[in-house]
Amino acid sequence: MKGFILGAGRGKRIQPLSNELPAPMLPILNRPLLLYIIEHLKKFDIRNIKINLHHLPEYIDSYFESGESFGVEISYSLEKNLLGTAAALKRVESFFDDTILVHAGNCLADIDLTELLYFHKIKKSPITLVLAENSIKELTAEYNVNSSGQIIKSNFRISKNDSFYSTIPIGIYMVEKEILKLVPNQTQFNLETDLINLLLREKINPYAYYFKKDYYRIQNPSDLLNANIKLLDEISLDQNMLIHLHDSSSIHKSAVTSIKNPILIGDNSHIGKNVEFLGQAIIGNNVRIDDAAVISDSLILDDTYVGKNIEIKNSIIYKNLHLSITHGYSLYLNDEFIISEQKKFSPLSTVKKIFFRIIDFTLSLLALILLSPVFLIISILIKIDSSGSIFYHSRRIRKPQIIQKTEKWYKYQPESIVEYLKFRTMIVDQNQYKSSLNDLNIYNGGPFFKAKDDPRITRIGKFLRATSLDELPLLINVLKGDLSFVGIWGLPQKEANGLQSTQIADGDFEISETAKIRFRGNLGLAGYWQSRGRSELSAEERIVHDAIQSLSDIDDKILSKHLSEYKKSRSVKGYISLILDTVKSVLKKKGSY
Amino acid sequence: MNFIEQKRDNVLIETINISRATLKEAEDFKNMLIKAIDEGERKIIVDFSQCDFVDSTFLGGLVVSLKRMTAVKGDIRLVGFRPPVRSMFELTRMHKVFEAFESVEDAVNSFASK
Repeated sequence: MKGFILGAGRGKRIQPLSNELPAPMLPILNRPLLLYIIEHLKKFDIRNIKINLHHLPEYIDSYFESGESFGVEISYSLEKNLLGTAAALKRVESFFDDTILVHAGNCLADIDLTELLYFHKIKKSPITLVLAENSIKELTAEYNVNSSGQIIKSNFRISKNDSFYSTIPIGIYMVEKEILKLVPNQTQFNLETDLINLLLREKINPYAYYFKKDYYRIQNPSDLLNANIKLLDEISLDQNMLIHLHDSSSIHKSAVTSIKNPILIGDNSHIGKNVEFLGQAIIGNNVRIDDAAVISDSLILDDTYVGKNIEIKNSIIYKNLHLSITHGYSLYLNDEFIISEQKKFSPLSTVKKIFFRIIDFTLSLLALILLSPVFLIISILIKIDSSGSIFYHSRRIRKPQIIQKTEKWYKYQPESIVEYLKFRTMIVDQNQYKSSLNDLNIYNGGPFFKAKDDPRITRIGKFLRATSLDELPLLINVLKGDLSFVGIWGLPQKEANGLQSTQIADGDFEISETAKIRFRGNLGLAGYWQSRGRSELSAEERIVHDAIQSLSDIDDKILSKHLSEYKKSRSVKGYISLILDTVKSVLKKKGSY
Repeated sequence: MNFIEQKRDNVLIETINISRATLKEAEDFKNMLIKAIDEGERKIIVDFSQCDFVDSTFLGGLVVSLKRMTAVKGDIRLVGFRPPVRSMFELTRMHKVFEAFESVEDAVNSFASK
C-alpha cells in the first residue's frame, strides 16, 4: 500500500505562521510535524509515499528529498491550484495501485493503520473516513452511520455553538483507487464532502472508522502551542526529566534555578543570565534568549532572538514574528532589541560580501577615472542642449513598503529607496505630455513602462539613451555602495507598485508571485535580464530572469542547495562575466531606447 | 534531436531530449511551441524527464508560450520534473503558473474532458 500526504494547504487559519513555513513543517518538540507522520507510516510499512505540495513547497522537499535518509521512498506532486483533497489524489492516480492511505499533513494521531486497513478491507469499503469525537466549533461533519459502520447520510455545517458535539474526520482516509474514476478532472473536489456525497448518490456506501484516542490537528497557532506543551509534558513524565537540553546549547546557571516546569532547548541555542522560566518553554534551534527575559508557556521557533528583559507569555515567536495566543493577535516586529531574527554568522559569506564590495569599489573608481573626459563632454552637451541640471535623480525601489493587516495580524515593512544618478535626458517641464504616454508603452500595459519615441526626450538625451551613456553616473552609485555591479535593475515607484498590487494576469495566466521575488534581491547594473536583450524581452521573460537573479543573491540554505548553478554568478568569474555580458549587450545597443 | 514530438489523444507531447535546457536551445524551443499554438494545438505537454537543468532564458520562453496559449484557451502542462528542475519551478513560484504532473499518463488524463 502506498501513502499520500496532503501537504499543499495554504494554512489560512494558522497564519501568519504559515506565511513563513508550510503547516506540515511547523515544529512539534523541535521536529517537523510531517516527520512524525512519515515515521508513523513507516512503522506500518507504508514506505512508498507521495506528498502533495503547493504552498512553500521547497521547505518540505528540501528536508525530505527522496526519503532515503528516512528509510522511505518519497515523491512529490506539485499542485498549481488547490482544488481539494480528492482532486489532488486524482491528478496522481497512476502512481497508486489499489488501496491508498491518505493522511493530512497537519494531523498527528497514534492510529493503528493495520487495524484500519483490516476494517476497510473486511467491509469492502470504497473509502473509509477516520472519525473522532469533535468538541471544536468550526467545521462539523454529521454523518449518519449505521451499526456496521456504513455512512448513510452526510451533512456538513458550520457550527459556532461551543457545546455542539459531533464527529469530525481527523484527516486520515483509506481510499480505493477505483473510485477516483468518479472524481472530475480539474474541478474543486474534496474527499470528505464532495466524494462522500457523490458516493452516497451513487449508492456506493462509504464507511466510518471511529478513532477514540487523543489526536492533534494543528489548524491554528493555539493548536500548535497546546500540542507542544502536552507532548513535552508526556516525555518529561516518561523520562522523569525537567530540562531537555541539546549538547550544543547552553543555559546560564542563574536561569536554571527558576525552572519548575518542563523545558526543551534545541540545537545551538543559548539562554542568558537571570532568564526566568515561569511555565513550560519549547525553544528551537539557533535561538538566543538574552539576559533577564521572562518566558512562560511559549514556543520559540528556530533562528529567533529575544531581547533583554522581554516578557513572553503564552506566545509563539518565530524570527521577528510575535503571536500572542492570549490575545489572538500577531505582529511582525522590526526592532532587533525586542525580538528579531537571529542571524547565523557565516564567516564565508561575510568575507564574500566584503570581497565583492572591494571589486565594486575598485572597478567603479577605475571606470570613473577612465571615463572622466566622457563625463565632461556629456555634461557640456546637456547644458547646451536644454535648460536644467546635468544629473537626474531617479527614485528606485529597493524594497517596497508592505502593510498587511487582517483582524488577527499586522505586518509592516518600510519602503527602502535608492536614488539612481543619471544624466538628464528629458526636458524639465513635462506636464503637457502626461496623458499621451500610456499609448507609447512598449510593454503594452502591465507593470513595466518603456516608450520607444517619448516626446519628452531631448536631442542629446536620445543619443545618450540609445547608447545607454545616460546610465554612466550609476557608477557613482556603485562607488558609494548604493548598488552592486551585479543585481536587479531598480524599478521606479510606479512600476514597482504595479508588480505589488495588480496581478500580472491575463485570463488564466498569472505570474504575480514570481514577479515579486525581485524585491528579495540586491540592486545592480548587470544581470541576466540586462545581459540578454533587455527591452527585446517580454515582461514575462524579464520577470523570470529577475526572479532567478534575485534568488541567486540570497544567502539561504535551501536556495544554495537548489540554485547552485545560478550561485555561480556570485563567484568572481561569474560576477565578472555577467558584467562583461551586460556591457556587450549594451554596446550592441540591444533593447535600449 | 533536441526535442521529440509525438501525439496522443489529441495532445501534443514535446519531450526535451537534452539534460541541460539553456539559452542555446531556448529560442528554437519557444519558436516551436509558438508555431504549434499558431497551427491550432490547444493541448500541449512538455516532458522534462530527460532534463536536469533549465536556465532562466529557457523558462522565459516557456512562460511566453504559456501566455500565448492561455489567450486562446489552451494549456501547456508539464511532466516529469527531476529534483533540480522541480526546485527551479518551486523557488521561482512558477509551479503556480504551470500545471505539472508526474507522468505523461496523468497529464494526458487531465486533458480529458470529464
